[in-house]
Amino acid sequence: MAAAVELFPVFARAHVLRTWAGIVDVTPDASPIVGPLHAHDRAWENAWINCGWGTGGFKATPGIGHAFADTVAHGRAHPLVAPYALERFTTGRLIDEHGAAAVAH
Amino acid sequence: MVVVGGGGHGLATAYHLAADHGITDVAVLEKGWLAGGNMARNTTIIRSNYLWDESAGIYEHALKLWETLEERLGTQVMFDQRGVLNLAHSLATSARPSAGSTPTSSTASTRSGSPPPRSASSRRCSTCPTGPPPGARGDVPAARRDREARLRRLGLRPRRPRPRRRPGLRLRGAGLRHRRRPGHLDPHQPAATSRRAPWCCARRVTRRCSPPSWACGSRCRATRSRRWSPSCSSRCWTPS
Repeated sequence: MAAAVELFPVFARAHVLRTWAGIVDVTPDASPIVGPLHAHDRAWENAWINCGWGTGGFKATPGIGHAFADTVAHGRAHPLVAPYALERFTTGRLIDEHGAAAVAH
Repeated sequence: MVVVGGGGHGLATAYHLAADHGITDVAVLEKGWLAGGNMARNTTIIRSNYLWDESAGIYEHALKLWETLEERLGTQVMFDQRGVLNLAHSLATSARPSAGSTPTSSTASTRSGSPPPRSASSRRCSTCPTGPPPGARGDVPAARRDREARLRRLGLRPRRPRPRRRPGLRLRGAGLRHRRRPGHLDPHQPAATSRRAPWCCARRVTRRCSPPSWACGSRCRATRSRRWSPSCSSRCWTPS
């Protein structure tokens, strides 16, 4: 807020309509983790995860619902979510979205 | 099939499992409100302009589905395509990651090659892209305690520095209590966070005081500042 008022002093007279604070789950490359859990441990044969969306999960809701349901139903990664497997942190094929856009959401 | 978490993603997954794949024995577990997080409270922006093709792919797929979602669900989701203009924002620079922690902010950590290590004994510096050189003393409170102890041994009473004023807004339209100061590099940050660390490469050592300790008690003439300055230290680091 100090930054906004520094740029636009007239904002000092504006009223705050809405604020929000909370915790978001952010991965080291700022991209989500979507895929199977059984790559390293067969005990997780039928477990699939979809997490780590940070501040970007809302806009992806219908898309990931469609792709993740397809992934789980067929037992293989949908092409759109294949790059987001957990293994990318061991293979090094990261999707580094840090600083990709000025908008953080 | 059990979906853990009844937010937007869990519900969308359950919907598509039933609608597209005929899997109808789906249990959605949720401890709170259904879709009570970003769907209900705090997020509004839908876009697909991302840096990498993998990101643009999934978000563009989602955007196309958003465009037909009301039709498909037969209900109002208040989807409306328009532009967005961000007038001002600041990222949480205090959350600048150290080598061993997870980065939470976007710009600072990726553009500078190695973020400065952050520990209790080193102060963060807003201008210096690298960390302190080996052997640098950055622990200002410890140095201040050391100086106060020496003053007490001499029978003098150390003067505590006045607390810095924090930026803030008055309640009713009075404006900003935030002023730029000499050495105040980033106007968006309060003075306490934009102070250069003692090991900062931006401050060249121009003269040395005696005794050669930067907490020696003399004012720094080189910077015309009332703050204690590292300019009298033999440990100061000049850029290579």
